[in-house]
Amino acid sequence: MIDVYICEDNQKQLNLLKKYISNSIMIEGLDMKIALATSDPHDLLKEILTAENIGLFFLDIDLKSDVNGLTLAQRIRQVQPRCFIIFITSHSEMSFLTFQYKVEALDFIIKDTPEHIKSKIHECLLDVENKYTSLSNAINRTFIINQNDRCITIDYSDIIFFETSGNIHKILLHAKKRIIEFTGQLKAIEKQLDYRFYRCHRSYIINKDNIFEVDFNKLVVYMNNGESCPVSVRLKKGLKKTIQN
Amino acid sequence: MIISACAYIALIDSHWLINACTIIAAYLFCVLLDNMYSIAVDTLIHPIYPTADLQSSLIYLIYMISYTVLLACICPVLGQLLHLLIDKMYTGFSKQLLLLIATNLFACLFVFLFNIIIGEYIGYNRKIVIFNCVLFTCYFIISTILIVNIIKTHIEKTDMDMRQDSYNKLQEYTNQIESMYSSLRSFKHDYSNIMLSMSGYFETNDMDGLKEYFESEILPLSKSIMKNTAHVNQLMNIKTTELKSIISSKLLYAIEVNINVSIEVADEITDIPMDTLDLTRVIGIFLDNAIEAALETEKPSINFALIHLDTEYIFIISNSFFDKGIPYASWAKPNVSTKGINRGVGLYNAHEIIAKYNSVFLDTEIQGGNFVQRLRITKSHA
Repeated sequence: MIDVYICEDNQKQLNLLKKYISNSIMIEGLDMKIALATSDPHDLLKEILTAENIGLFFLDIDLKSDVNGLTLAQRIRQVQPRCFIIFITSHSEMSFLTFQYKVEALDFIIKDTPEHIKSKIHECLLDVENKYTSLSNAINRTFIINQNDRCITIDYSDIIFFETSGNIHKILLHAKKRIIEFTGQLKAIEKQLDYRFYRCHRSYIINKDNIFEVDFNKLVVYMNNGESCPVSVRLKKGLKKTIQN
Repeated sequence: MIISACAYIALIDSHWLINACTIIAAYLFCVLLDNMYSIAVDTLIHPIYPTADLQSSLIYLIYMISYTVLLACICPVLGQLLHLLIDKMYTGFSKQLLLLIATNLFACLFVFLFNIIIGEYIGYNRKIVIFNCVLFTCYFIISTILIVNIIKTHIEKTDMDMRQDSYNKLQEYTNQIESMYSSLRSFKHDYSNIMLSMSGYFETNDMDGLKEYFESEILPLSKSIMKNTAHVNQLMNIKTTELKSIISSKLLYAIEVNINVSIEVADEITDIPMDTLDLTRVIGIFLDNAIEAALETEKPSINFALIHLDTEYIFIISNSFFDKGIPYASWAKPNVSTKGINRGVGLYNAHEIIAKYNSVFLDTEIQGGNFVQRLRITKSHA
């Protein structure tokens, strides 16, 4: 079950949003309910303190209150780190990337035509439902990278390999659609990973599920995204063994 | 020694000239130190044991060991200094200059070697050693001063060039702002006209005419205004001149070639804990690549954001791109590029620069049709 919260200072638009959302929930038969629709951000903050379910928030950015949408979203994130936040705004000068980075906003709905808002809300609700189900069904284990107060999660199945960078303090994680650098040591990482990973070289840990081909003569592993990793002579045997099992 | 030197040069071929210079300089330094030290030891020992010969095995052994210890003490310090110097020089050193320095060092080496060979031939005595020592010292000091000066002037010159460059770019930025302002003024003028003609429609109560007028005149105008501004003014929040000039010039170019650009710099950006030159190079490379990649798409767009959090600064550059299926990791290798051989140096350089810093992290991601690069610069090592 997902609790939906709406915060919008204009009463008319608030009612409109409420209507659109409840309609969409009904039509699609989603496992959601509108928990609160308010024009006061403080009400919302009070309400979520006692909430049990994961929240989906539709927030206006300009709230005509002492907190704006961004700070509200940041406070919500502190209470519910895994919630979904969607901004509704008329600002043409909106900062998408900044908001996305600061509060990991899921999406933005621009207030223009009612039809557009309606379809966009529908889209967002379906998206959240999808994300939520895949989240709760997650048997996939994930690798977590902590960056100060943010953390990035990457599914084990998406990881191609880890590699030490040119800088001794940094590790490069090559994922299917992402390459990310972080501070760490391969040794520590190797310990926390599961069976599908193998350290085939002093500075490489590969995901065996993502191997495309291994050339034992040239001592190279070709991964299925087109990249390749070297294999050290010493660890060749072990690799052969683990692959065959 | 020579074999190892050759091996070293062959191994790291990218800067072989610098490497050769370093080796020669190190060798010269060793010889010089050896001479000076032997004189010092000689003068100390001579009065005490007049008969003692420097060449005798026991003293020679002690001498060798103490010399090695001395070297071990001095070398790490020197090495650090040299690293600093080379790091500074890394910003781009003309081949000509390097060649000049190398020639000088080679000449120095020949003089030294010649002297040593002659010395072997004649046999060492105190006078020759002292003479050698004086000669070597002079030569060494002179060439050191020469080289240091050359490098200094070179660094100053590149610095000046940089400043000039950023000044030019800033000029461009100012021009753009001025043209934006004048377009705003012309809009003000249009605005009063629009109001006037609208009131005319109202007076005659011609709603159909008003509707037509609104759709044909006002809507396109408002659209063009929305498109033109592109939030360039947000760049004023960047207080570092060099950074502002590079970002503005690249993004203004992008706007010029009809890329849909959005700029987000909500917080004030003052001092980013990364060398300005390095930072501007990296950002310049990323923006160049973003522009190039965006132009290959049907609806080119670039989103740029610079965010200041309590603990870090984040640059986000997101551009539309056409997936050619080349794994990103291989782009960052030298000579691999979507543009053909010998052109993929930019990204490789950017990665090299980033690797120098412990507190700078790059995160590259493909999000739908967008290529997103996030450069995090953390404020402390914590």
